Amino acid sequence: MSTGNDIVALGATDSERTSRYRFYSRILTRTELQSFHHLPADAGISFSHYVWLMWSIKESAYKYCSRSETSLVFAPLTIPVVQVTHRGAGSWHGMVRYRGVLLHSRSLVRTGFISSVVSSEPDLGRTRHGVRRIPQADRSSQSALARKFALQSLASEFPVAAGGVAAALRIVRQPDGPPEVWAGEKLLDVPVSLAHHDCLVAWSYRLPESIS
Amino acid sequence: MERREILEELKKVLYPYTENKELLEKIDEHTNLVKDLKINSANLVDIIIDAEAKYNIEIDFDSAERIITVGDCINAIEEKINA
Repeated sequence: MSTGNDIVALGATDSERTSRYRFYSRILTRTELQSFHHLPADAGISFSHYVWLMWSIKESAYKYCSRSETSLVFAPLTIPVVQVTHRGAGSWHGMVRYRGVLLHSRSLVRTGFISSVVSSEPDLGRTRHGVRRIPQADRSSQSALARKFALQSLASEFPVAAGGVAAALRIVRQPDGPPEVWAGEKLLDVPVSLAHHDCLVAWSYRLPESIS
Repeated sequence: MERREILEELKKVLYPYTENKELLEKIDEHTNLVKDLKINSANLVDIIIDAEAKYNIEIDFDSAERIITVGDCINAIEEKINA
């Protein structure tokens, strides 16, 4: 029981290039392209932002499945977004199918970024997801700050329910493996997903059933 | 065109998308684009499109989905320019 997330820094994308057939045809299926043209007028999303919305949902699903199948290669056209609906204020709910698994997505389209998270939970009730801006876009800053903010979020969920383990929480990434959350010497059943792009970092995780 | 020549030209395609320019100079066919060069997945489509423009070729979806390493990228380009 995991999550997967992705963040797209819109300032680091090229909307003119994104809107070219040679670009978006490598991301959108024919059905997804048709879905854009049938969006209600109040959805208020440009085509280039729609492409990146689809991308972020697909990448999130890829990350979700990569946790158990580490040899997967991200291929957007093999990850169909079967439904996406605007719920107002830049919030989108959707469903995506990958590797025979139907996942539920939540996305935020905001000034400067698009962020998505997927989970097998229909209501994502136990899923936590956050985005923060960071001052620098170098790889080490992105990685360190994504971990820092994810740990801050985890700490807010754990101190009471898990007997004060928050101070000992740390995120460890095994070579070629997904990030893991440890409390001291104990591996927690809290698969965490980290993402970064340019000056933005994002994280998601799903709380175990033992945390109420 | 030999693979070594393609590799040298490919470095120019990868340049705008690579943070570590020193590492870029040392790449070989085994270099993983995402894990080693730390290229953001969002830029992989850009790289394919730039390579297509540079060599005046069209890399099909199946070939593009097999591109993981620099060698895979050279394979895709070589296959098209020698077709």
